[in-house]
Amino acid sequence: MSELAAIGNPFRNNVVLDAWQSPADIAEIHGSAFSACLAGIDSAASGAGDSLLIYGAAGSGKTHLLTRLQRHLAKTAREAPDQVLRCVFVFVRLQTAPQLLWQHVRRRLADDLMRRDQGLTQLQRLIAHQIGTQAGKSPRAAVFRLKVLEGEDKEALSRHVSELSQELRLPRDLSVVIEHLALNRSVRDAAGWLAGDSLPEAVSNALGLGADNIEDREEAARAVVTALCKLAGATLPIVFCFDQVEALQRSRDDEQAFFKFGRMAADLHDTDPNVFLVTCLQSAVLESFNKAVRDADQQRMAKRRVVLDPLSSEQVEKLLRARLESQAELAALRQKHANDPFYPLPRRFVKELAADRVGAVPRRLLAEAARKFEELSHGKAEEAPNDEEYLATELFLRQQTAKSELGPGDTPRVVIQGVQLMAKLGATPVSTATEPHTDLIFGSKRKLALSVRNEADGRVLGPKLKRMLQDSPRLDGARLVIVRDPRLTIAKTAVKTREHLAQLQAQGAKLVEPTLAALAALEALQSLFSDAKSGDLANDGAPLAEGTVLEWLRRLHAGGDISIEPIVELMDAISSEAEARRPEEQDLAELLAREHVIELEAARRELGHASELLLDIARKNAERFLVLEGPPVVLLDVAGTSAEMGE
Amino acid sequence: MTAKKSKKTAALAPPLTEQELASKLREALQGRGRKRAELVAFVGKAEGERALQLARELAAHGELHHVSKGTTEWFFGADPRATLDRVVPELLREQGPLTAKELLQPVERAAPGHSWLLPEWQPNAIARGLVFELSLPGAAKKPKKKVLSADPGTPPVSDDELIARVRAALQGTGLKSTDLLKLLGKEDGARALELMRGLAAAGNLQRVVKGTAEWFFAADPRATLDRVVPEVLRSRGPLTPKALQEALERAAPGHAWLLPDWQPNAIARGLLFELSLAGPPKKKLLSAEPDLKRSLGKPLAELKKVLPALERQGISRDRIFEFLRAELAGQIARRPSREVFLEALRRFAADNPKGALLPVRELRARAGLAKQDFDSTALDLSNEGLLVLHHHDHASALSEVEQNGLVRDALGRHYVGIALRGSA
Repeated sequence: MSELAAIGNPFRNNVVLDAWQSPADIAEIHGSAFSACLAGIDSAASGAGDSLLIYGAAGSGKTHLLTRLQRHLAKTAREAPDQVLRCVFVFVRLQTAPQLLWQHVRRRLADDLMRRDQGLTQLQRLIAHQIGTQAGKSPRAAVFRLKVLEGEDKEALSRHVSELSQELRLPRDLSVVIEHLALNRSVRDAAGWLAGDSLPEAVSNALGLGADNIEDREEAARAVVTALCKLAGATLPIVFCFDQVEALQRSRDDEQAFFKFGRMAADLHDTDPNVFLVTCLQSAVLESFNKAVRDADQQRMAKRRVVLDPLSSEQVEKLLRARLESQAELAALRQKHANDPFYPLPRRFVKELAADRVGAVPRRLLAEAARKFEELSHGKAEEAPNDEEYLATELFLRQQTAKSELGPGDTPRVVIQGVQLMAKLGATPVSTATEPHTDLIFGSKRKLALSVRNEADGRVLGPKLKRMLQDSPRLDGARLVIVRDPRLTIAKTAVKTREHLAQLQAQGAKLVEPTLAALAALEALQSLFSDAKSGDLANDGAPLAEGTVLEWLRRLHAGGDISIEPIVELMDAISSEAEARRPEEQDLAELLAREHVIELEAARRELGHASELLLDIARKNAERFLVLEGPPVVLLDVAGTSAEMGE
Repeated sequence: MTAKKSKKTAALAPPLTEQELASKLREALQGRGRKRAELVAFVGKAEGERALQLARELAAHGELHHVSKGTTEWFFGADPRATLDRVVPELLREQGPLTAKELLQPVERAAPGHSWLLPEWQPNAIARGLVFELSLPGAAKKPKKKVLSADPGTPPVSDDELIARVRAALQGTGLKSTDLLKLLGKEDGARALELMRGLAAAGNLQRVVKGTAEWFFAADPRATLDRVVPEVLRSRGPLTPKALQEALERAAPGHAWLLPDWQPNAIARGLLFELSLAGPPKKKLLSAEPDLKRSLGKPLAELKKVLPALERQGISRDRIFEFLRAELAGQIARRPSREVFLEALRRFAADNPKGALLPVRELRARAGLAKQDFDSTALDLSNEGLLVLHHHDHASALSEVEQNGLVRDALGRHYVGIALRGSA
């Protein structure tokens, strides 16, 4: 047995999906592109907004380059004498629908501003930096003070945020939220608002925010993002890194997706002179991107351009050596072969890899090296799974991750993207709606108008439903389908909201509450497609095309595969004729959302409905209620917890 | 005595509960709108301020509706615009077409307190197709009369039809916005103009604005000039800028005004050449090829010097012509694809921002080499490390025509982008 058999393969894990990862790095590779990034930041820091467009083949290291930039910024901040933030870094992987672009950017921006380093978020460091600059103190001292806030400091901080808001004309609600977050107050709810979540009225009141009566969430997101840019830009440059832009395209000829991205990027560029935009683009979409994005927008989002060249032979050798040296278990063996820098890889193999001038992209090289290492360890390379097996495994793993990560705030994106994907699978025409409160129009025979209504509670939802009622029946004859996250119930006290809903249902509208299993499956599928479109879905180093994934999904669909069953059920629920939900079911859902577990008898007392009726409802809705037959009979809420429980 | 007593009782009456006040408000606003003062009068002065406060709160929650205009505040039981959406078409169906002025009274009768919203509601309702604006021919020397109708009258031209008409009109020509209005009439023209702007913003049409003039083109007008001007100059020979403008207006109508802006860049790109004719008066001509007399002046003078000697040696002029033709033809034929390729690439790179990845398809069109020549030259130069080719990961998903535009190597890999190495 080879002495390598027990050692992990140092060439595996060759897809970088996030700029906050820390893979092994060779500074020389794509050095000029990295220098362009730094030059752009310098330019933005001096008040001349800048932008960089990076072209590269799939696997050429675009995302890797962004990880290098992120680590460089964190490292230089840590090593600087004052140890303070040098710029705000935001990473946006564009796995979203074009009509939700600003909302997606808002969520990512909020998430990254809330990232903690040594106890403080990026947002808090930013505020501390501003306080320090204004007070003529060192930013480091300001950061320290923020860590050990005392009474008078809190007042000073509130005053500062208020003054800053006035100076920058920030919207009142945003200013209030920033104050909460700077002072570590009600962080969960305030961060939720910052990311674009709808909040229950009671929570909004407690935070001191106005009622959530937003009509156009995309416009609201744009306003918050631009205001945050102004806030950051007042002191520090803010770097937006856009990755997987191709994932926005709903089809290969979807020019509208790139057009919208160009508009958004140009808007961001114009927001503040301290903004630096980095856009990573796959070479394969070069022509369609150039065609779709207006010249004026390209001039703003691509002031600098770089191309990620294939690696030179020296770079190939350095990459392989770095990977070999990063594997601690290999060190002793390599010591024994000190005169062979590539041990255990044969020199001839390395030479052949380095000689390929056009195909020398890091991901392909690492996959080849991984296969060779496998062969040397076990006598033969482990057979790669076929594409179907690989995709099935990926789908399963991504579903598990999605189940634990998806929150109600993600539901609009998941549903809108997912329905578009399933419509594509069935070649069903789908279009984005222009009127408020409608997200998509789709269907071939009978048109359906999909409205994802994820307002947090009845008080916020009520006025929206009322408006929809006024527009019902729709002029285009489409049947209304309201989709709402099952974890967001409508309280019994929201009488008007329930009335509006009942009236809409009486007029043929349908309310669909997707199960968590369906949402997770849609999210997993969507991420597979996004990765495929961006060249980041690779089976043993070989990229899988979107068409391959679509064909596989068609086969799963035709064969009634269990892994996509929740999605099929959801699509059936959306397209089937309306079936009004009983008010008693809403009562039970709302009670269980509060109590989570309750005896049937207690539920009867609380709601005043017959036990038999409640039991019948619970048994017929296994995806949201679980019945423990007892005695005593106990009801459990499974809508917002784990999908497995429901299964 | 009785009157006095009742007045006293009223003054001492307990204030209404909030629920009672809300019911009173709903009653007051049932099927109508009321101004602030009218509402106060309805509920009584004593409760007036509270009632207004409550009405505003209910409106904030969508229970009532509140519209402010200047300092005037109106309250409604239902969304007043939705009420107009319902009432006005019904009235027009009952009473036939009416002018905006004639409509005011019936609306006020059917939905009191709503007529003042008509001017603001009307354009939007027309856009949504709820009501239609028709022009009735006026009597002699009287202006046309505009009426609102529930019936569209003659069917309006749809957006798609308008776009098709404008596209047909744009075939091979450019159109000014004012031409568009003349072509389609004021109303359809204005609508078409908005549609054209939208299409141009989405990149489906070309729009050029200079000063107050706005032009639309089906294809990029500069690319059209790139193609048409050299053709005109080749067929007509060198022309003065004015004569070229006139010839261009016939070959590509609506493009001639762009000539002065386009010309310097086209000269820099080698698309046309400026010739200076000796005066007086001195004259400048534009030509599809450089001034050969000037370019070849020196070698011609040298040749002329040696001609008598050659003739003395028995070499005829015909033999010399034949010799020169053969020599030059051979030299031209031997001009390597590599040179043509690199020259086209350098020019293409110079026309683009520094560091840009260039589409192979466009370079192929510029270089004008046969596919095989172009592909093999590109691959050779890439192997030599002079340029970088970027492969297309999923070229198999492209059509055959699309694939043919890319460079293909011996392994079947397709390349979509090209850049000079280290161009960043």
